[in-house]
Amino acid sequence: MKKMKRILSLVLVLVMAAGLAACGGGGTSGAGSSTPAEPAGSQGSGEGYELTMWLFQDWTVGTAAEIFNTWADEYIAQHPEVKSITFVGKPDTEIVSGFMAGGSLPDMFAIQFLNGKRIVESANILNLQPYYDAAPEEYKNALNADAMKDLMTNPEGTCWGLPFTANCQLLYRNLTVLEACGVDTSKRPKTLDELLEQFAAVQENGYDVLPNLTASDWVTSAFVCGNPDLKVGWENGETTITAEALEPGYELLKEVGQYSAAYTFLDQAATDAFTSDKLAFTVHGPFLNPNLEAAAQENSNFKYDAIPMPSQVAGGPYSASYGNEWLGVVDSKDQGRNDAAAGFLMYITDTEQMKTFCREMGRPVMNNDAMDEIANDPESPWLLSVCNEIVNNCVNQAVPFRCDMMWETGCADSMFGLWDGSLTDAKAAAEDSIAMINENA
Amino acid sequence: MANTAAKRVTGQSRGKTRGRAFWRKYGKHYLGLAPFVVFFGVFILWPMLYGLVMSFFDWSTRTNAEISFVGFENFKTVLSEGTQQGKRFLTSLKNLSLFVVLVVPLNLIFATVISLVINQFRGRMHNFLRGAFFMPYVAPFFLATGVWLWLMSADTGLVAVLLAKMGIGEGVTWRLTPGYFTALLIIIDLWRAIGFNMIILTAGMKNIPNDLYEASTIDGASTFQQWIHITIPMLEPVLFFVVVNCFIGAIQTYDIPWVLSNSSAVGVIGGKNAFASYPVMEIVGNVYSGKAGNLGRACAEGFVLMLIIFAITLLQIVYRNCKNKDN
Repeated sequence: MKKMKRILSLVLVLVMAAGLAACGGGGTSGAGSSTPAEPAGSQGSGEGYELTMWLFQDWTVGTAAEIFNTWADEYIAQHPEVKSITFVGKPDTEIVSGFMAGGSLPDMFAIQFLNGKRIVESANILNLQPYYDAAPEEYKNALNADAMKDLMTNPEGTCWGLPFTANCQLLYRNLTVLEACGVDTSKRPKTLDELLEQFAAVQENGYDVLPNLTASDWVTSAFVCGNPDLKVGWENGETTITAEALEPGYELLKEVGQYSAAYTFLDQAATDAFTSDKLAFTVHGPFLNPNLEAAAQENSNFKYDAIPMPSQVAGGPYSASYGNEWLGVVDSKDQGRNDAAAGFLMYITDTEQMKTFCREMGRPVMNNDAMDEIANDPESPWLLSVCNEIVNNCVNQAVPFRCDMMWETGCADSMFGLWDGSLTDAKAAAEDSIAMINENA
Repeated sequence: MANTAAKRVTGQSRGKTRGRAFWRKYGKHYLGLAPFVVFFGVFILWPMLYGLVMSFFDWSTRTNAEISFVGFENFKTVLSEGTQQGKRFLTSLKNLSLFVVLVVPLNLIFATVISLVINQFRGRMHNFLRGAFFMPYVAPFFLATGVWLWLMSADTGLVAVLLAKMGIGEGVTWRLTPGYFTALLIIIDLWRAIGFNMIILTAGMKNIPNDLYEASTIDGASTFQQWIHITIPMLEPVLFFVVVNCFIGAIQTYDIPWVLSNSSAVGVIGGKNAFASYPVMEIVGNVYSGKAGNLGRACAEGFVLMLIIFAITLLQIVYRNCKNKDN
C-alpha cells in the first residue's frame, strides 16, 4: 500500500512536471518575440515546411474549412518544399491577444483591417512589398485598390499583407409587412427621409418598425454614415470626420428612436418577429441571412430582401460602413519559410481562388475581378451583389494601420443617447463624438 | 588552533547530519508540496508581481515601443475624473459597489434558506434537490447568460412578460436600461451561484452533531428555533468561507455583464457611458486597445482591484477574529 502511494505520488509529480514543460515548451523565445513556432523537421530540407495559419473560427468549419483545405492541398502539390499547412480557428480577440502576448505565433494569419495597427505594432510582420512588386500585373490589378492603399500607406514602401474579404450593414425588409402597409417594395427608398416615411406608415398599421439597434455602435451608425461630407481619415493625430458631417445623421437618430421596439436586434425575439411578419425592418450584417433563408425555407409565406441603407441625399453614398479582413505573414527570419507562406497567401488571393470563396461563402471579396464576375452571375447568392454594391459606395469603419478603433465606437455614447432620448442636442453630441474619437484613438 | 578547526569541522558535519535528518524527515512533504509551489509561483505569484511592477511603467504591446518608468502616473490616470479612462474606471467601480452590496447578502440569504429547507429532506429527495439547485452552476457563463437574455427579452421573453404583467419593467429593454441591467445581472448571478453555496452549506450542516438537535427537541425547540440557535451558529466557519468567496467572485464579475451588454474588445464596452461596465471589463478593454501605455494602465487597474479584494478579505478576517475572541 505504501509502495503504491509512493508510485502514485511519483506519477503525479511527473505528470505535473510534463504539464509545466508543455506550457512553456511551445514558445521559442521570450515575451514580445514574434518568431513563429518551428516544429521539429520544419526547416525545409528533407521533410519540408510545416506551416500554420490562424483563421477566424467560422472559417475552420463547414464549407470554408473545405475551401481552405483544398487550397492547401493544391498549393502543397505545386510546392514540394511545403509539407503541410495547418489551419487553427480562433476568435478575432484571441488572434489579437495572441500577437500581443508574443511567444509562439503562426506563419500566416487572417485579421480585420481595423486591428491592423495593433498587429503590426505587436509582432514582426513580414513586409510583402517585394513579393507584391514581383507579382504579375494581372494579379496586382485585380486586388481592391483601396484596401491595398490601406495595407501600404503606413509607412510608405511597406505592404503588410493582402486583402481578403469585406462586410457591411444591410437593411433587411419584410416584404409581406411592407406590402400590407401600402409600401411599394419594388422601389428602394432613395433617401433616409423616404425611409422614415415608410417607418411612419408601418407604425400606423400597428406593426413593429425596427428593433432597438443601440446594443451595437456599428449597427446604429447605419443611420449616420450616409453623408457625402463624412470623410473617414486620420491626419495629424486627429480624425478627419467633422461634427458638421455627423450632425444630420444625429438629427435623424432622434426621430428613429420613436420607431424602436423594446427588443434589440441581437435578441432571438427580433429574428422571430421578423420571420413571423410582425417586424418590418432590421439592420444587420450579412451574417443574419442564413437564419432568414432557413426560416423562408420552412415558411413559404415569409418574404424578405435586403437593400442598402439609403443616403441622406439622393444619389449620395449609402448610409453604411464596411469592414474588411486581410492576410499577413509573420517574419520567421527564414527566407525559404517566408517565401512559402507569402506564396500561399498570394495563391489564395488570386482571382480563381477568390471566385470560389465568393461564390461558395456568399461573402464579398477584395479581389475586384472575382467579385465582379460572381456578383454579376445570376446563379450567385443574391445578397452578394447587394453587399458588393454597398461596399463600393460607403465609408470605411476604420482608418486601418493608422488608428486603432472604429470611428463608430467613439460615437456610441452620443448615438445611443440620441436614440433613447437622453440627449437632444445633436450638435453638441456630434462635437462630443469627435472629441471622443480623438481621445480614444 | 587545531582544536578550533576540529570543532569547526565537527560543527559542519553536525550541520550536515542535521540537514540530512531534516530532509529525511520532511523531504517527501516538501516534495509533495513542490508541484503546487511551482504552479503557484509561475502562474499566480510571478504574474501578480510582474503586473504590479509594470503598473509603474508606460508599457504597451508594441514590439519596438520603449518602456519607461512613470511612477504613479498610471494610477493617477485611472483614478482621475478628468480623463476618459479614469471616468470609465470610476464608473465601473461604482457599478461594482452597487452590485456587490446587493448580490452578496442576497446570495447568502437565498443559499442559507435553500440549504436549511433541503436539509429537512433525507435520501433521494435530498440528493435530487441538491442536484437540481447545483445544475445551473455547471452551465458555462455565456450559455446561462444567453438563456436569460432569451427569457428577459422585452415584450416576448417568458420571464420579462410575466414581470411586465405584474407591473415590473413593462416595455423595458432590460439589457440596455441602467438599473434594470443591474437587476438582470443579479438575477443571473444568483441563479448560477446559489447552487454552489448551497452545496457548501449543506455539507457544513451534515457536520453539526445530531445530539444538539435531539437535546433541543427534548427541550421543545421548534425547527425554526433549531435553525436560529443551532444550525446557523454552528455553521459560522462555513458561512465565513461562503461570504469571502461571494465577495471575491462578485468583485471579479466579468463574463455575464460582458455578454449582456454586447461588449466587444474592438467596439463599445459596457454600453452607453459605461453604465454596464465593471472593473475587469475595463481591464480587458485596456489590454486589447493596443494604445500606448494602456497595458501599464490595465496593470494599475488590476492592482487597484486586487487591493480592494485584499482589503475586504482582511476586514472580514479581522472581524471574525475579533468576534471569536469576544466569544
